[in-house]
Amino acid sequence: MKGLDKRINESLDFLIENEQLLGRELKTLFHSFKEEKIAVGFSFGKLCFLHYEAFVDNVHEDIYKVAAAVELLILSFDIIDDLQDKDSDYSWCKIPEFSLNVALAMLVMASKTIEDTSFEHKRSAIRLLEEYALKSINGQQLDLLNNCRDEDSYVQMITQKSGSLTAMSCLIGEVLAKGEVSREVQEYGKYIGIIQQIKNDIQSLKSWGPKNDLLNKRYSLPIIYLLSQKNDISKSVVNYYNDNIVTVLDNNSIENELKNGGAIRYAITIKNVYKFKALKDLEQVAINELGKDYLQKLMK
Amino acid sequence: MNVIQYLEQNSSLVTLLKEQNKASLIGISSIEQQAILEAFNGELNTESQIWN
Repeated sequence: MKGLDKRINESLDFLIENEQLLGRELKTLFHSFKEEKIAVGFSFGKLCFLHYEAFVDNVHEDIYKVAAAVELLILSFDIIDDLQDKDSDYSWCKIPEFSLNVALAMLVMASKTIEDTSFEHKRSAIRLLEEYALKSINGQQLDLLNNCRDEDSYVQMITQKSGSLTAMSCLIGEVLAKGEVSREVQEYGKYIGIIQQIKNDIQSLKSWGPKNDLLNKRYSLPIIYLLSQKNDISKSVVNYYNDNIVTVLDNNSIENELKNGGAIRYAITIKNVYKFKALKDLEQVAINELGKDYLQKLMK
Repeated sequence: MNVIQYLEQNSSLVTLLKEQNKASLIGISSIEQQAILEAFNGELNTESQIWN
């Protein structure tokens, strides 16, 4: 998989350098933002590649450009999300005005890159990109509104916000190879995003800093569980969320309640439900062992 | 959520659930039961591989 990351990274460099309509200032920012994402790896581009490779006899070189295009869209959404949340240390948060232009350029370049390939089914791929990107933006809006305060609405929101992006990455690869998409890939692609988002939500509660959802009065599954409890700690958190009275939060007690009162276990249970559903759907899809292994890791 | 709350307060039931056929959760699908049991088995690796 390291080799694949390298190929996607090279394609990103190629796309940035060869975009005639962008000046040096934008290209320099483009490169620096992309460099910061190398450490995380290009998971979305890899999902796209794996679902193309699985259904073709010969891999066309253009698929690396498409995988890079998918990563451009994801990076643009990451930048916009961080600018909206104001909770990140990435360099794009330093000068938001400039970063917004980079994000806009990335978005346009994502579909333009696919359009410029020689794939027979590139129009279908672009339609998927547009459809799922809009779904994700709608999910992002729901997230910002912070109104999803029960399990159903919260899961629906993360399905749109996060599940759309992982599903899109898988489906673009599949449609370029086959000209059609399958229910199984659509479903488990979506579940991967849900699983990863729930894990991210749990992780946010492990540090008592600016990214902590509870301190920011945000809702996620463990917090929804905690707020539904009837003990003194949950009552103090409810007061904090409602701004009823000046509340001093005892971080040790809250961390202990989250861990030992069932909140984290509840979130892990929901994540596990999607894991088992995803693994079941994956069994129906003919992907090579290396690809299956990679997908299974993302489902856990 | 209610099931997790109940099991948190009745840990002996979790033990019975782990020993197959000694207890079952009515209205809970097999996937949900499997998900619950795995969560109670202490799996706490929650670092996302794609978001941070």
